[in-house]
This record gives sequence, structure tokens and C-alpha cells, in this order.
Amino acid sequence: MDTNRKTPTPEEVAEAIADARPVDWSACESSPAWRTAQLERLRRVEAVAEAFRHVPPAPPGGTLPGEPPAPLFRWGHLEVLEKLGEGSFGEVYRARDPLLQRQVALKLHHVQGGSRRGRRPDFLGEARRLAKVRHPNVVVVHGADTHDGRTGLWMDLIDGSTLASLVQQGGPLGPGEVMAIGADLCAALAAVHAAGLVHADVKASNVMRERGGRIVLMDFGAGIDLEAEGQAPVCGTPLVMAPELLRGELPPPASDLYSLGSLMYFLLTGCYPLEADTLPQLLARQRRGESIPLTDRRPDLPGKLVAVIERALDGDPGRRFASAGEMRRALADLTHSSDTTFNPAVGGRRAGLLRVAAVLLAGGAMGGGLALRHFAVRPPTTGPGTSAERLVVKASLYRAGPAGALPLASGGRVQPGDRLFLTLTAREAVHLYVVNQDQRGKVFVLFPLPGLRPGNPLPAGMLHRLPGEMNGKTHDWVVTSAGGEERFLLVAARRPLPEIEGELSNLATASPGRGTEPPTDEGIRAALRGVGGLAPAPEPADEERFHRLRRLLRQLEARGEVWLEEVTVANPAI
Amino acid sequence: MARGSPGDSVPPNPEAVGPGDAPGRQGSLESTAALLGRVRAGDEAAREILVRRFLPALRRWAHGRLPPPARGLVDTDDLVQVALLRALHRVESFEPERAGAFLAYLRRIILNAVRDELRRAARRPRPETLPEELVDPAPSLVEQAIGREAMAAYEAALARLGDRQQEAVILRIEFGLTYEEIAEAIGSPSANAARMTVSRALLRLAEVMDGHQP
Repeated sequence: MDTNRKTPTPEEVAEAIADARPVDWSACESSPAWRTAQLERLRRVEAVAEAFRHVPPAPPGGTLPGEPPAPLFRWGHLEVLEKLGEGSFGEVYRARDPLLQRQVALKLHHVQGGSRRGRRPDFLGEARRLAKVRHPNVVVVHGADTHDGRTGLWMDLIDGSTLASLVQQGGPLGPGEVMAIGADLCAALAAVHAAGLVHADVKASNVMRERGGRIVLMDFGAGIDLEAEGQAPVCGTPLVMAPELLRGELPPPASDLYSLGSLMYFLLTGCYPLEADTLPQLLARQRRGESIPLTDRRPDLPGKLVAVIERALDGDPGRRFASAGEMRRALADLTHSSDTTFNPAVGGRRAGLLRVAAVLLAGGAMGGGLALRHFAVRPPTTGPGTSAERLVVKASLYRAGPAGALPLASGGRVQPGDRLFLTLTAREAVHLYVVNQDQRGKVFVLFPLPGLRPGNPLPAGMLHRLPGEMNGKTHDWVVTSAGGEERFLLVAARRPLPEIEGELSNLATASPGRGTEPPTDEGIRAALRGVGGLAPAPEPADEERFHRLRRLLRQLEARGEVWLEEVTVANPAI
Repeated sequence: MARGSPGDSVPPNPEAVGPGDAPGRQGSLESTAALLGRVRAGDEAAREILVRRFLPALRRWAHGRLPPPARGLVDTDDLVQVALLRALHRVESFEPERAGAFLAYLRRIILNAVRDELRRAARRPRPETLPEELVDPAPSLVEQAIGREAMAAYEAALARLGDRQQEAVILRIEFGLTYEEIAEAIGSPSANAARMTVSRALLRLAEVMDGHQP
């Protein structure tokens, strides 16, 4: 025993506990002034205090938008939260403006690497240029500044995806959607040009489609102020740049129309009109006019749409549209023209069919325009008494008929030859199940399907076009018989649903069948008229399974565990 | 649990809410009481400032104090956020005599919400897929460290203290506030006075603690 040590008083022990200082328990124990029970209880209080003190920091989480995540760093008054993307000149971050209490997109140029002479991004110039343009299809810039040696500008944070990632994830778009995007971008460019500017870098990764459908032109990093002393930009993306821009000439506004034509070409095909591995090769091919005709890649497109895009892509700026407004008018005329119809059978001819009894999976992405703007929004489903974040799923069933894709809702009609597909986005990853009961009562699993991608779980925040892709080809479900009605059950859940999967395992799965060439619409009707008209009796086992499945799903829906949609459409005998 | 006497601002936890909200800059900061007043008048911005002020400390506390999120149970973060938002929507019915009571009040409604949630889960018809831990939640991190009985004994002893002493213990031990912050919260004249209050409250806590060893 160390008699030199002073025995702490109870007050001192309590203070040490409160201050997280070590307590000399052995000194207390050896002192007659302390009672054992008193010591024991204070030790327990210390244990509680220690336990709270050693709780590790809470992991990041929470779903409330009001919660501020810890900033990565500060730049001026902005709290930089998350890196969204990176380009050759800089990085784009999600940042919070604490003064205005809103989130913004912050574009910062690289600390190093961007300092080579002539390669430094002119962010302040970009901000000045953007500030001149006010248009709903052009991103709004809020400010530009230099802090800690880094120049940056901050602008509206657009909640959506770039057209580049839309094509990357969902494959090429349909002509209707591309015409609508083209018209919006013409309007945006008209505003840009009216402000005396040329954007000079119109491309799929610089255009965003906001949730809800608004098209927003971003990124004026390459922009040119025609009133300022002119010098050709050294940035931009060669594959989509107009020939005169590549030649280093000061671009006329028509250069942006070339890039827009190139962008529309890309949206329709996933490729650029000119492909080259090196810049000299590109220049040579441009000079020789060696672009790949759009019709060669998409023979299903209406001729007038091809003509508009190819006119925008003319190597001679003087032979393109005189203005963005003129190109917009040409696109608007197209929308009302009867020539915009296209024959899905043409595109389908290139792909094998996946045959099931009533519904086929057909290859080829030519099923029609994705009517993205008409995206159906289903009210969120929530279970009774649960305060958890609700599962929000946006999904639409589409029928791609001869005149383009139309949303297919209950009460609608399908007929043999119709291609059906589903578009879906969800805020969180979901497990999706789609079941179809045909006019004979036979039930098929339409999703998930082995061999097709994506499968479950479907990643969050993306637009999925289902049933998906196989061997690089987008597939549709195709109606091959007529008579009666078709019922679809669409179910999404946060977790796999073993109870549902058990039921589904008893059902027929849509799978590749004979790789027949699809006949024309008329051919299908003629071939299947008899089959549909006969309307065989329902299969009792399947009928019972379908009802059991539906009961189960309704229970899950009532508990707020799943998102459920049922669509019943007529498939009348011809 | 915590019902206080007149006071001023609730102290933010400087570690949790960042330098901008440090108590040293109280002059430039609006007090929690003033912000609560603005919220009562329908000021959404004040509501958001309060959320930002309290959420980090509450999240950290909840991370240690609440059962880990079990399948089928509401996520801890969601629960904390919802409780905080609801509290801020109900400020009309909450008249803190001391602003320090606000944090203790939030703590209480979060603990109540967890209990309600557990009760609700236990009442719910249990399909085979529902796991056991819904009814008997896994121990919290703090309980894992000291055991469930010790935690229960602490809670029981805490409930026997006066409001002001309860707040002193909660703010210091559970939320880790500084004495300056606690002084503001419980209306002590100085940090030293707050330290005395905390020490005495801890002594008292030990005295009233159930004599059984855990």
C-alpha cells in the first residue's frame, strides 16, 4: 500500500468520472473513509460514463434531406460534400451553400495539371458566359470565384442523369424522344446564340435529363464569346466537333448545330457519325465525308428525321440550318408529319425472338420511342404505422406500336405484334417481379428472366428499360396471340421476396424459344387469328396460383413492404 | 424526465456540429431558445438550423444508446430524424423552462419512440420471416459494454434525480458537452459551477443506484 497517496474524496472521484480522468480506486479501497458499497456504485457510474464515451462515431446514414453530411472540405463559403464527376479540366462536386441553404453543383479546376499554358479552364469566363443566358433548358450559374488557389463556379444542382449515361444504361433512344430532346436543345442553343455566344461543346455528357424530364444544357467550359476577341477553343470533344472547329476556325453558331446533330445521331445509335482513333484520322475522314449514314445504323427511322440530322451534320456550315430556331422548326414539323411513323418489324428483323406461349421477348431496340416525358408517377406506398422512408418507384408499361411507344394503362388494348416494355426508376435498389396472366389463364414470369440484364436487385437512381438486354440487344415482350385480356402484376420490394420467388418457381418463365424471324404485323395477325380466337379454357392450376400470388402481394402491400401495380388490358380477338 | 427552469440557449456540441456553432461564438449565434421561438412563429429556416445543430449529437448518442437496427425495425437514423422533426413541429406544446431541457426532451421522445416501435413490432402478427430480435432487440453498444442490468440500474437511478441533475448527467455523460455548454444549458453562472453540478449529480446518482451488483 502506498501511504503517500492522498485518498480522494467522493467529490473528487465524481469529478474525475465527469472529467474522464482516471480514478485512484486502490487508494479509495485502502481508506477507511470509503464504504465498499459507495465505491462499488461509483465504479458503476464510471463504467456507464466510459461506455458512452467510447461509442464510435455514428456511421453515415439517414434518409432525411435536411441532414447535412460532413463536408469533405470547404471552398469559400461552400461546404463540399461529394464528388459527382471528373473531367480533364476539373472536378464537379455536390456542395452546400449554407447561406442560401441549398445544394449546388460546384465545378473546381484541378489543383495541378490544368496549369499548362493555354489549357487552364476559364471558369470565370464560363460563369460570365452562362450568366448571360437565361433559359429553362440552360443551367443556371450562381457564381464564380477563386479560393485556396482553385478557381471554380457553382450552379444549379440538377437531379437526373446525363444523356450519355442514359444511352449507356438503357441503350439508344427512340426517335420520338430524340426529336423532343433535339427540339429542347435547339431552344437552349437559340438562347445561347442570342446572347452572342457559341457553346462549342454540345455533347451527350454535357446535357442532363432532370428527373421529371427537363433537358438542361450544361458546361460552358469551351464556350466562346463572339464579341470578345476571338480565338478558337482548344477544348471540346473532337468526335462531336464541327469540322471548322477542328480546323481551329472561330466557330459560327452553326457549329453548335453540327454538334447537336452529332448528339442526336448518338442518342439514336449509341455511336458517332464519324469514328476515328486519332485526330488526324478523324480530320481525314471528315474531309472525305466518310461518316456512316444514319439510315445504315437505324433503317427504321423516318426519312425526314434522318434528313434533319444529316443536314445539321453537313461539313459546310453554310449548308446547315440557318439558325437553331430553324432546326427547331424542322423538328417540330416532323413531329406532326405522318412520315415519322416507323415499322418496328424492320428493326426486329435483326434479332431473334424469345418465344413463350402468349408473350414473346423480341430483340432489337427498335420497339419505339421511350415516352420518357410521359413517365407515370405512382403515389408512394406506405404501410400503416411505419415511419420508414417510403419505397418510391416510378414505372410505366409501354406498348410500342407502329406509331411509337405509348404508355399502357389498365383499360388499354394490345394486339398481336405489339411490343411491350417497362421503364422503371427507384430511389433505392429494388427487387422487381413481373408476372403476366394471359387470356387462357396461363401465367408467365416476365421478370426476372435468366440471361437478361439487368437482374435483381435493380440499381437505384437509374432508368431501367425492361425486360433488359441479352447479348447487347435490348429486348421487348411481344404479344403473339389474341383473345380475352392480359393481366400484369408489377411488384417491387427493398428485399428479395422469398415467398414470391417460391410461387414464381412453379410458373413458366419466358425463355428463348425458336429463333424465328418475326413476320410483319399483318403476318402475325393472319397467323395467329385462329389461335387467339379459339380462346382455350383457363388452366385451373395456374389460375389458382395467380390468385394466391395476388393475395400474398396484397398482404405485403398492406404492410407497406412492397410496391404493387396491376395492369389489365384487353387483347380482343381480331 | 427533463423539465427545467428558466434559461437561455441550448449548447451545441462543438465536436459534433462544427466550429461554426462553437459556444465561443455565442455572440454571433442565435440561441436555441430564440430559434425555438422563431420555429413557433413558423420560420422554416430556424427549424433547419435547429435540425443541423442537434442532429449530429443525437445521431451519435442514438448510435450508442439504441438497439442496432433490426430487420423490420425502423432504422435508427430515421427514427432520430423523425423524432427531431416531430419535436420541432410540436414546439408549441414544449415550453422549456431551461433551453437545456430541449436535448433531454429529445432524448426522452426518442427513447419512447424506440419503446413504441418495439411494442408495435411485438404486437404485429409474426409471419415466419420475422426475426426473433424484433421482440427482444439486440443490446445497444453501451449495453454491450456494461451489460443490460447495469444500464437499467443507471436509467432507474437517473429517474430518481431532480430535473436539473438529470440534465447535468445526460448532457455530460451521454452527450459529452463541455462545462461551458452545460452551464448555458442548465443556467449555471459559470463552467466551474456547472462542473460542481455535474459532480454532485454523479455522486447523487451513485447514492440512489440500486444496491444490487450487476
